[in-house]
Amino acid sequence: MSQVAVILGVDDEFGSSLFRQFESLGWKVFGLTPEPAGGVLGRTASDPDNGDGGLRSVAVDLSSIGSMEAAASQVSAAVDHVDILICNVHSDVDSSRLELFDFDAMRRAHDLNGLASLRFVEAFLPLTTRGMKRICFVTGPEAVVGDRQASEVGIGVRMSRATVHTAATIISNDLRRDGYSVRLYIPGAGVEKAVDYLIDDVDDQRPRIFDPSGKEWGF
Amino acid sequence: MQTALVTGADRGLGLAMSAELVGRGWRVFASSYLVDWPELRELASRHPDSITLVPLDIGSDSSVRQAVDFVRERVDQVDLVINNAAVISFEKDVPIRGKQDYEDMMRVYNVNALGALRVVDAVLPLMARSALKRLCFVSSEAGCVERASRESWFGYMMSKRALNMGVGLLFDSLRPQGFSFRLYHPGWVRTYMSGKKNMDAELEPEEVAAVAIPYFTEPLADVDDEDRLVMRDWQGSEWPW
Repeated sequence: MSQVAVILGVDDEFGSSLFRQFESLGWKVFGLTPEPAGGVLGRTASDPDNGDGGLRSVAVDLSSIGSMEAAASQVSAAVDHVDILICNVHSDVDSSRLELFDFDAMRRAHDLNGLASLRFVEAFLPLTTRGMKRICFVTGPEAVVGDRQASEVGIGVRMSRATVHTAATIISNDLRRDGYSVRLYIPGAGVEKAVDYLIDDVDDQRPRIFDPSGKEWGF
Repeated sequence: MQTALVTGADRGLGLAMSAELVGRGWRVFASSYLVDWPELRELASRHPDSITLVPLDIGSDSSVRQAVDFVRERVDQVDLVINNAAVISFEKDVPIRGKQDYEDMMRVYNVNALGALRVVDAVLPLMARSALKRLCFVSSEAGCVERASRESWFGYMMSKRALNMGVGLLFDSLRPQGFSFRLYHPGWVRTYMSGKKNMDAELEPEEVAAVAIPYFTEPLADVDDEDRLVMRDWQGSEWPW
């Protein structure tokens, strides 16, 4: 039985590298390409058909649970389970700064970051009841509250991305008793290290955040 | 007489903090969202020279602007802002296997996370001449990831996490300009957030207000501590936030 990964956000360098790395390890991988304005499902032009005839990449509307569920249906038609869900969304739709707030953009940022992450897990969770039961969230230094670093990322994006850490923890609290584990990862050089961490079998009691150097970050 | 703006003052902790401030000689602009709720009006009628009601929905850009204009027409300076207003989701107990209400989660986020920033953004010019320049935020243990133990409550917990991030970013920008901050976890207070007063909770609003207001208004024992943003609870204990 092939191991199966679903990655939300294969439209950036890290997401596409993850996609290729999992494939190179023999996994069957489904990549979801965020299409905030669309929601039309289909294979992306950049995604090669690897000869198995299966759908390998779909576009999803991050703001729509219906779009996520439709994508999950397409994946479930092609495989009988999913081992690992990887959420790699970072929609930089807000550039608010102090005294230059755009609250509409800040709401949009939450819709396409924090809430999109939840929609992804809600929609795909039913496919994960067999297998590895691993849920991963790709995060970044700009989402860490306790060790705030200067960043060009807008306040609304940073606030919303911080909420993903909360969502990951709630999901872990709930699902851990059923054998699920939750990982958070800050990308950097070396996608191999990322995959090693995302699929390792260390039994963490709670979600933790690591980067490629092995540094553990606070929340 | 120093001047404070308190959001969410109709009832519960906001009402109790407004009363505590008045008792300590402050002039209070108490924001009101619930026009039919009598307690704040009764308090204001007893202290007409100290309390002024301000219609305010912190979820609305225009309402916040109008409220601050209302304050500006009456005073030329605000010394203290207590961002207290918050809401909770009625579907808070739905775990991830359930059907999430994303529209409601956005409603909660818009008030709890963005509301305080709207108020600060609008009121900052009125605080420029204050010697105190104190910004206070009633957050929650729910915003603390390190100690989170709930298995649902996505909307509320995520909103408070975002609030903590927003307060941290405001601190980074405004502390060098002389502003000081209080980030507060009030404990489990008998409030009306779920629609009726929660008598299962541990603390009366007046108990919390009696310790919160001195913390919000007075200097810290060590002035250098103002350069470190912390979240404290009603007992003075520090939380990872």
